[in-house]
Amino acid sequence: MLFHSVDFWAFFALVVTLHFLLPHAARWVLLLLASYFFYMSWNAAYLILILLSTGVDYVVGLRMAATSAQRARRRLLAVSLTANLGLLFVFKYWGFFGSNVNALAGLLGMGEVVPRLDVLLPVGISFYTFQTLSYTIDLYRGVIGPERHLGRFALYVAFFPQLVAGPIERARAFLPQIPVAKRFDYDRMCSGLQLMLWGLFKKVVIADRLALYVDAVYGNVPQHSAASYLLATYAFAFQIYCDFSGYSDLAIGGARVLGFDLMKNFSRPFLSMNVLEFWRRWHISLSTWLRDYLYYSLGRGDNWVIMRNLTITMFLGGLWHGASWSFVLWGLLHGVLLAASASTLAARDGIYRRLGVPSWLRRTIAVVITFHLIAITWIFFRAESIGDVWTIFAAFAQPWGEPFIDSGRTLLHASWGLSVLAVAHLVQERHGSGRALIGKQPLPVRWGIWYFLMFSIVLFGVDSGSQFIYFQF
Amino acid sequence: MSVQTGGRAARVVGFVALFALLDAGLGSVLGGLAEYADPKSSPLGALEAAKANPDMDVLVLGSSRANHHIDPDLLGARLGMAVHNAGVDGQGIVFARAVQELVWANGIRPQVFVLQLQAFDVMTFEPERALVASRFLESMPATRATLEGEGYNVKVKLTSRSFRYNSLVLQLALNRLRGQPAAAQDSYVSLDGSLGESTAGPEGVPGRWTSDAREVSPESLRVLGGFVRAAVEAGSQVFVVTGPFLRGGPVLPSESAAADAIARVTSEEGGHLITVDETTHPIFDDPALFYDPSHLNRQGAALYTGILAERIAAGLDRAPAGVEGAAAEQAGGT
Repeated sequence: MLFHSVDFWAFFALVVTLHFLLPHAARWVLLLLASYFFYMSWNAAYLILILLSTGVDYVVGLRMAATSAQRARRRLLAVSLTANLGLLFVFKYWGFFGSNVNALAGLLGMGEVVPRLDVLLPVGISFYTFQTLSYTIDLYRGVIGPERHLGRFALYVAFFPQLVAGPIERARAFLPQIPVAKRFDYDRMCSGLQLMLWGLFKKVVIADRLALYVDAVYGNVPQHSAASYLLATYAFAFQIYCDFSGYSDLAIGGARVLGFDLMKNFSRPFLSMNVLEFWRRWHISLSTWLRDYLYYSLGRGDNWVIMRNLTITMFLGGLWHGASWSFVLWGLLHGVLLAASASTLAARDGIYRRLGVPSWLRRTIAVVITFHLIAITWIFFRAESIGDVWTIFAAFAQPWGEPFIDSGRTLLHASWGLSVLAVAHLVQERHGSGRALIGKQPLPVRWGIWYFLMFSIVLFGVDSGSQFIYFQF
Repeated sequence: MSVQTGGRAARVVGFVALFALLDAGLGSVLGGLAEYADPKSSPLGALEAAKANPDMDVLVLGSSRANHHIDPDLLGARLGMAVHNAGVDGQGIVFARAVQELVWANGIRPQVFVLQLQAFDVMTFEPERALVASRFLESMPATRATLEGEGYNVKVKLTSRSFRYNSLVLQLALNRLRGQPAAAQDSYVSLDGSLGESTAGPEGVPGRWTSDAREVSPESLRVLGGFVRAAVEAGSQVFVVTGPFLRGGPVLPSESAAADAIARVTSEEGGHLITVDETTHPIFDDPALFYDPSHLNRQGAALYTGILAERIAAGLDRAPAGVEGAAAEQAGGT
């Protein structure tokens, strides 16, 4: 059940209506059942994994709270880590691990040493695994207390708006919201629906349209020119941003309608002035998760230690995205870029100051350079194989040729949505919340803007019902 | 109900009502520009062009494989008849039925229908793709019934007056500015370049369509049966034709089952089946005739159309309808 399907909107309308009709004490039951139903619409059998994860961490939480012995607490944390990461490994990484080990064994003249497991990747497993891990790690660190209500804890793990692709919500932010009685709030509902509308616009008007061009080029790598690869890589940068941030807006907006606040996941990342800033603006719930639970755990030290830790963190961040060498290289490249960015920041500032570059020009140069550095990494992310990556880079060293222009005027259609996105981002950079600014306008202007977005979706949206990219992670 | 609650409820109702009004208005404005839809790249353009061509003797229908494979000028010259190709990328049997109903509703009576169909066309049933025809649903009772039978998901989209122009606004506006109505243009587009030179991706490779061993869709067969039956009852001849792929492997059992089902339904309803593919004509094993594994290039299309013309001509001379195909081809050779 995709957020941009009629099915979802019918389901959502029903859940919202029942949620506010039911007494507060029964609402968690409704939301939990709705969340499980939502998940089962993809693969009912895999609900067992969520139940397993929920059960293990619930019990670990209670046991951890019952003891102050550090050794016992550490052992309980190990149980949680083993159970959750074990599930993740089996269902997400086993095939990758096995194929590489078997390839190595083949080189050594051995047979297949790792058996194959033909299992489908459970939707959202990387997200809810990290979410529930944050609970046990925070509990271990003494940041939060245990959740003793099994139903509420289960709802935290499975809350449907953010179950399959985040934001990866922290227990300390979400669990306290569940017991709070929520009255129907008209303004809150409007705000949530407006955010959902904006997310839907980004998904179907921009991301799904650009996908047509990106798929045509990246789906047939040897046949295209460097100019096409360049255009397709730019297009993919905006496709993945609009796809994922669109999903996040739908999730955050949907939760808001139901009375819950989820963390912000994107903040205009392509306006970043360096790669460090990019990761403060891109997939914020993952980058902060990696920072809090991985990077900080690797210890502190001099510049070399910082660079090493950044590289390790991003290597694992890349692997989190997908079980393939492309994602590993993507993560490593980001680690290197982050390390380089951190270590040269002061020097670059000094150069700009010495040259007397005006701040607006400096910002423009920095944004353009950062965007292109990130765009290079997207080639690894999007290419269907490492071989394709090298083919693309090799093409850039040859005459660039003519760009591929498809008969469907894909890029022309996408430019409609991209223009709206550009205006929205400029408004947000200057005024903060775009919706707050719109809210101050007279009614005809406000309605005009919402109608504009709605009819853009109707007239310019791609009606393909394609998946969100991050559902595969 | 408090004054504030009442005011908000009224505002919500007003917002929805104005949306409906704007939807109708936009639909009306865009409907006035529909004749500017491009028949070579949009289903709406193909529909507009088909209903604007009263002189056609032969109407070619189907997906991109009709659109790119059957050259109407060449076929027309060989048959001595006026041929109109209304094949559209990504469309299938439901859309073909829609075009058939539309031309009849406009008083156009083709003597011959040529429906380009493949096994995979009856291994899926995606009638919502034919929503692009919703502008003309009043003239298409069978198509309308098929679409409305798809449940509320499709009904919601049918309700909108502007959604039927989805992805067409820029095309309509640009062609209006250029003053280029579709008139009776054809949908046929030849593909230049051969496999290995073209920018076509590997999508559409037969193995990809059939490797999941999907079963034949009874709904697709029902629509196919309705298409053939209606045409025969109207006094037209129907040729269901299957074309070549550049095949990387053997024909899968699921694909054979689907091809058999097409043959059976076509025969039962009084149509002719013509198979001109790589199994009956080994010349289509040549990659130089293909733009991508599923589409012939200009040279391949010319060859294919020529063979098809001979087979259709033979079929038109022969009064009783029957299943032709692989056996006849193998016996006769080409």
